[in-house]
Parts: sequence; structure tokens; C-alpha cells
Amino acid sequence: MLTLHGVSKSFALREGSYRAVQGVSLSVEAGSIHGIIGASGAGKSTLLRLMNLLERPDEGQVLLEGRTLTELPEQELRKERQKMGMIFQQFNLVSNATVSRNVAIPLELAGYPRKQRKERVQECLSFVGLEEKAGQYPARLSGGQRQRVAIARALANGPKLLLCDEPTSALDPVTTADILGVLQHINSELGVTVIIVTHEMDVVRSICSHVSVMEEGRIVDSFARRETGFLPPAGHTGSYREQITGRAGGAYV
Amino acid sequence: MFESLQQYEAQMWESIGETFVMVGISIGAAVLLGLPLGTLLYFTRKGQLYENRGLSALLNAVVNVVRSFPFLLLVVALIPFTRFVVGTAIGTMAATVPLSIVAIAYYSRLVEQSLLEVPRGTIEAARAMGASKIALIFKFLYVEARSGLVLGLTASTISFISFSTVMGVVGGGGVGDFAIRYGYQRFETEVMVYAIIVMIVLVQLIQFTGSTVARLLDKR
Ligand SMILES: Nc1ncnc2c1ncn2[C@@H]1O[C@H](COP(=O)(O)OP(=O)(O)OP(=O)(O)O)[C@@H](O)[C@H]1O
Ligand SMILES: [Mg+2]
Repeated sequence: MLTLHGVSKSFALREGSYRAVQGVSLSVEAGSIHGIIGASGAGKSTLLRLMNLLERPDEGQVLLEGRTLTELPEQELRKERQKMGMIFQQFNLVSNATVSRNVAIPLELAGYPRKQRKERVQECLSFVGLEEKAGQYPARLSGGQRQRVAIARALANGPKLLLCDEPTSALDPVTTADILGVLQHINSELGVTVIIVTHEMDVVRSICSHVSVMEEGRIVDSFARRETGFLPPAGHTGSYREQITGRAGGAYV
Repeated sequence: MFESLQQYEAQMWESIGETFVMVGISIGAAVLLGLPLGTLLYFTRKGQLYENRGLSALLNAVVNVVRSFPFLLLVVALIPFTRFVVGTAIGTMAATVPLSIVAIAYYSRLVEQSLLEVPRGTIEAARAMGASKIALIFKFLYVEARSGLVLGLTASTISFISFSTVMGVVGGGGVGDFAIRYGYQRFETEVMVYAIIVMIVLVQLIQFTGSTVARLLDKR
């Protein structure tokens, strides 16, 4: 689905530069829910933004279904981005636009047939269970509802891939479970591949099929869920994998 | 008291008309050219999407020079340019040229400030959706900044009214000029007071309208 080959990104600082992502290679399987977990400042958000080229890598390649995004000119890249949805911790809705208008904007951007837009907006809003909020402004909604609008907006153009940057970090535990349920539903019902950046172990435990652990700009561990769960690490090192699986010693939970 | 007012009523209305022409054209210039200039000031700033040091420094220098120029001297300095644009350096139309130039510089700065208040996340979301530059500006930036843009235009309009009062020096007329020529210079104090009241009412009305529109537009 999505492949990164030796991708690096540095930011210019006053003294020298800071390497936020260092030579990351990663392959995200179609149909998976791929978690990227790590401490604050590990470079998770930067890595996610490299995937839709909001940030241009200094080196390395990004491939979406075999197309090398890093070689595309800006205009074609915009078309590719319309096939990827993205949601954020702070929702990032247009606050001066109604809920339905927010969902309609990506349709306009993609040149979706004018006459069918209204219907499509309805469809997306009912998928996230917010049809009755169509005429409201985001300021009147709860955090969970705002994230649902953001999800509806991200789904409008029928993306194959959904990028999520800490989508539940601004929400309480109950709402978090709610939103994770919606993401899982999108994955299973619509077949959308989901990449989810988080620092919350619970997010990974509850919905991820694959996990990559990030530390100081590198991926230091990658593992997939088996029928029996995640494979615990061999040794007791206090690693993310150990915390996620709740044990060490290499046996399944 | 009313006698003197009646005597000058025709001139009074004429001068109000001149003020409307001068300020109206300045507002037009502010919107048509100040808005894009302010948008460019915003985009080329350090850390913004189309960061461009050279262009940013140039635009800032021009805007600052215009804004710091004593207005009367600017009017005089621009006489050759005014003559080139409208064919004459005297009269109401001629007066709109320096006024418009100041209007563009003033409003562009306020536009830049309003756009800076749009959350970065909104722009990030727009880019992630594959928005073109034009779509980013019209479907995201201006939508989120709209109440600030209206308030900025309101404040600018009030400044243009103030600037327009000195346009008598180039025969621009207007309420301010009327107050000076008929009220002050002919010792018709009532006429002067009346003209000032007209100005005050005008400014109050504009501010009220601007604030109300801005409030209605703001759904944040
Ligand atoms: N535009 C930028 N300019 C300079 N430095 C940046 C920029 N973006 C990110 N960084 C730096 O890169 C590093 C990684 O940032 P990133 O946001 O990817 O981390 P993160 O893992 O998402 O952290 P968090 O959990 O806090 O969101 C940080 O040290 C950050 O300060
Ligand atoms: Mg982050």
C-alpha cells in the first residue's frame, strides 16, 4: 500500500540542523491498521507528514501503491493527496464553516460532480453518525463529535488510506474508545488502510494489526498481531513492545 | 444658526459626496490590491508556506515607507504619478490616488495580521486535502480570517476618512475641506461644528456596521 525507502528529514535550527527522521524504511500492508508509537519528539508526526509529502524528505522515496510520490510534480501530488485522508489531534476543521460545508470542501477540491455532492456529504455524515448536526458550526460540537466530522471530511473522496496523527489524544477515555471504534469500522467496512500515530499504548492494543516503534527518528521495532496477539519481546528491557504485550520472554500473551 | 447652514447646504452635500467618492475608491483599492498584497506579505513571511526572504523584505519596505510618510508630503510627492494616472493633479479624482495608495498599504498590513491568526492546523488540513494555492486562500484562509478582515477594513475606512479631510490641498474637497473653508476660514463656527458632527456620525455608523458584520461572520 504505502512504502517508505530510507526516508530522512532534517530541520534547520539556529545552530546546525536537527534530524527528526533518520533513514526510515517501512511497508504498510493494504487493509492493515498500522500503529506508530513512540515518545514525544521521536519524530512520529514528521514521519506521518512525510507520507503525504506535507514535508518533503531530504532523501529516500515514498511510494503509494507503486507510484513514487517523491517524484511527482506538485499538481499531481495534490491529486494523490486527495486519495489519502488525514485527521489530527486538534481536528483542524474550518470553524467558520458548517459541518456539512466542512465535508463538502474536499469534494469541491477533487471536482466531485456538483449534483451528487449533497448526497455524498449526507452519506459521510451518516457513516460517522452525525447527520443531524449537518447545519451546526464546529464550535457547538463536543471534541468527539468534531473528530467525527474530521473523519467524515477525510472519507469524503473515498480514500484508500487514512493518516491519523494522535486522533484521540485530546479526548476522554470513553470518547477515545468511540473514535477508535469508528476507525476500526472504516477499516473493516470500507477497506481503508489506517496509519495511526500515537503515544498511547491502549490505542495500539485495541485496534492495531501492525506496530512500529519510533525512537529518536528511527524505527527500532516492528511487529504484527497474530491470532494469539502481539509477540512479546525476548528480553526484559522495558521496551514499548513489552509494555504493549504486558510481558517479556518471547511467548504469546 | 440654521441660516448659515441653509446658506451652505448645497456645498455641504457636495462635500459629503466628494468624501464618499474619495473613501469609496480607497476602499475599492484596499480590497482589490491591499488584500492580495497582505496575503503575499503573509505567505512570504519567515516560516510561512511560501517563505521568500527577498520578496518579503521588499514588500515590507514598500509598505512601511508608505505608512510612515507624512501624508501631506506623500500627496505632494505623488503629484507626478497622480498626473500620469488621472491626467491631472487637482480635484477629487486626483485626490483618490494618494489616498488609495495609503489605503492599500494600510489594509495590507491588517490583512497580514488577520491571516496570521488562522491556526496552522487549518492550513495543514487544507494541504493534506490536496488544496491548490487558490483553494487554500479562498476556501480556508479567507473563510477563517473573515471577521478580522472585515474589522481591518472598518478600521482602515475610518483612517481613510481622516486622511481625506486634508485633501483640500489638492482641491479634493470633502467634508473636512468644507469645514475648513466655510466654517473655519469664514468664521462660521456652526458650519464647522455641523461638519464635524457629520464626520462623527459617519465614523460611528461605519464602526457599528463593521463590528456587527464581523460578529455575525464569526462562528469560531
Ligand atoms: N517544522 C519544524 N521545524 C523544526 N523542528 C521541527 C519541526 N517539526 C518538528 N520538529 C522537531 O522534530 C522533532 C520531532 O517532531 P515530531 O513532531 O515529529 O515528534 P512527535 O513524535 O510527533 O512528538 P509528539 O508526540 O510530541 O507529537 C522534534 O524535536 C521537533 O521539535
Ligand atoms: Mg506529534
